[in-house]
Amino acid sequence: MGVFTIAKTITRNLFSRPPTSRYPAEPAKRFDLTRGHLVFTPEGCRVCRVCMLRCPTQAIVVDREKRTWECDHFRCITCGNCVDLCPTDALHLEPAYRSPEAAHPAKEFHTIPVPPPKPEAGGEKAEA
Amino acid sequence: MSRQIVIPFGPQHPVLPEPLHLDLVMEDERVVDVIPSIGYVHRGLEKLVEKRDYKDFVFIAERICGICSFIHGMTYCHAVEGVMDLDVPPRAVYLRTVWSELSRLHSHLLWLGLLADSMGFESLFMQAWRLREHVLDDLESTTGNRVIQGACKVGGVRHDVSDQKLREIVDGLGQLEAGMQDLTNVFVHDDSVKHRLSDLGVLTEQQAWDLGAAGPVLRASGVANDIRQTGYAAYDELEFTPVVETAGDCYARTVVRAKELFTSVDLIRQAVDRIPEGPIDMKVTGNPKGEFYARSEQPRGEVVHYVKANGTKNLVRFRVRTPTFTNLPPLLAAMKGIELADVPVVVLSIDPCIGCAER
Amino acid sequence: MKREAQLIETIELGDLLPRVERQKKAGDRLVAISCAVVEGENEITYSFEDRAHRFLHLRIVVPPGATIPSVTPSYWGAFVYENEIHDLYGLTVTGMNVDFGGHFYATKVPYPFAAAASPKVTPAGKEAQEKECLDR
Repeated sequence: MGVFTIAKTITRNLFSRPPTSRYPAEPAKRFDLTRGHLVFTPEGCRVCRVCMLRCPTQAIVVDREKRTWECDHFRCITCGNCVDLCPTDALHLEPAYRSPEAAHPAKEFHTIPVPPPKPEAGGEKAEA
Repeated sequence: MSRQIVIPFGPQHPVLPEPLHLDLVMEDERVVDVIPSIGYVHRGLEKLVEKRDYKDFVFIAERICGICSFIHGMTYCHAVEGVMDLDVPPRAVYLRTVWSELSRLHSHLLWLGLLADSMGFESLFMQAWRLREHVLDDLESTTGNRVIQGACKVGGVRHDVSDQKLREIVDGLGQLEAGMQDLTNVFVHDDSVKHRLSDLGVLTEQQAWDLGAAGPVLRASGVANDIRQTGYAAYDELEFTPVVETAGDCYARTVVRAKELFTSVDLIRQAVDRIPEGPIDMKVTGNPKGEFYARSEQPRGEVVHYVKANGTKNLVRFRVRTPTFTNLPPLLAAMKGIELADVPVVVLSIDPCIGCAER
Repeated sequence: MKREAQLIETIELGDLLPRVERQKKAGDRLVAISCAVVEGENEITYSFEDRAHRFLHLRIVVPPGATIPSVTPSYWGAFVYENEIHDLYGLTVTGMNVDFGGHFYATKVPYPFAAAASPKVTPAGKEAQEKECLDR
C-alpha cells in the first residue's frame, strides 16, 4: 500500500508545476485591490488637508500657504485611509509596490497648482 | 541531591519568531521552574489612542499583531460600535465573519507549519505553508493585503465582495480541504509526530481553567469554551460545535487546531450561503461616550478589547488583553517537569505572539 | 449579531479580596485585570467569566500611586496583569507570588500610562494635533 502511495506522490511531483512562481522571470502576483503604493495627483487637490489630519501615522504634510503636499514613504503604511477620505480624487492606490529606498527621509514632494478658472487670481503663483 | 542551574532560553532562539525570554531552572535535564520575562517589544500602542481619531485608530489596532490582525481590527470596531450603539448592516457583519474565518485558517496553517519546523519535520512545514498561500491569496484579492487586511472600519467594512467572488472562494476552499485532509492526516496519525507530542506539557482541565488559559490551549484540556458561542458578528446565525480534546498535552493542542481548520471551512460555507444583500457600511456621526468590553475568538484564543470614551474624538482608554498574555501562566505550569529538549515544542504549543502580548 | 451585557459593578477596595475569592469559589475564570486613568483616578477592573460565558466585571477606584492587594492567592496567573499595572501605572501591588520588581516591561519613562503622564485631551485637541503635524 505504502509503495503505491509514494509512487503516486513521486509521479505527481515529477510532472506537476512548482507551487511557487518564478518571480523575477515572471511578474509577481497582484490583484486589483492590492494596496501597493499611494499616488497623488496635484491637479485634483483642493488643499483641504483631510489626508494630513486623518493619517494614522502622520506621514502626509500639506501646507496651505505654500500649496505643497509631501509624504514620507517610510512612515506611510499604505492603509488607504486618505484615499477613502479625499473629497476629490486626488489620491489613489496602485497595486504595484514601490521600489526600495536607501536614504532615510524618502519624501515625495508635490506642488499643487492653483486652479485656473474659478477663484479670481489670488496673486501668488504657487511655485516651489 | 542534584544541583540546580539556570539556563537562559530566548529572546533569540530558532523556534521563536518573537522575543520571549525564559529562565529555565534545571535539575539535570529536567525543568523545575520557569521565570518568564517579556518587554522587548513593548510599544505602548494603547497610549496612542489619546492622540488619534477613534475612526483612524482601527488601522493601528490592526497592527497590534501581524497574524490575527483582522480580528483585532474587527473587535476594536465592535467595541466602538458597542459604545455608540450602532447596528452594522448585516452584509458587513457576514463579510467580517468570512474574513475572520479566513484569518483563522491562515493562522492555524502557519502554526501547524511552525510546529512541524520546531520538531525538524521540514517537508511538512513546507506543505502547510503551501496551503496557507491559497488562503492569503483569497484575503489579498478581497481586502487588498495578505496579512494586514485593513478591511474593517467603524460602521461596516471598506470593500464589498461580489457574490461570484464569494462562490469562487468557497470552490477554492473545497480543493483546499482535500489538501488539508492530507496535511492533518500526518499531524494526527503519523507515529513520529505523535511520539514527539504526546504526554508533553500536560495541563489538566482544572489547571487550564484556573490559570486563565484561552482558546485552543483551554479546549485541548477539555473545556468547551469558544467565544464564538457568545454570538458576536454573524456567529449567532451559524452552526458550529467547538472542537474539544481532553488529553491537555501538545498533541491535543495540535489536534484541536487541525480540526478547527475544517470548522472554519464549514463556517465560511454557511456564511456565504446566508449572506444577505444590502449596504456594507453606514454613516457614523458624532463621537462615542461610554465604555464597552468586546470579546472575540482569535486563532490563538480569546481577545478582549476595552474602550472608554468621553465624547471627544479621542478615546480615553483602549485596552487589549491578548490570548498570549493570558496563556503565559498556563505555559509556565505546563513546562514544569519537562526535559530541556522539549522546551521549544512546548513553548510553541501555546502559539506565542509576543508582539500581541506586549502591544 | 449579539452584544454581551456589560455587567460592571463598582466595589470598595476593602471588599476586593473577599469578592474575588467568592468568584473563585463559584468556579469563575479570571479573564483580565485592566486599569484606566479617568479624571485623575485609577479605575482597576477585574473581569471574570463563568462556564456559561457570563462576563462580569468588578471595579475599584483608587488614587494615583495607591497600594492595592494582590489577587494571586486566589488566581495564581494574575501576576502578569498585576506586574503590568505596576510597571505602566505606578501602583504598588502587595503580596504578588511572582514580583518582577518593575522589570516586566522595559519602558523609556517610568510609569508611562500613569495619571500624571497623561496629556490633557481637550476639545481644542484638533488645533494641537494640526500644530503638531506642522511643527514636525
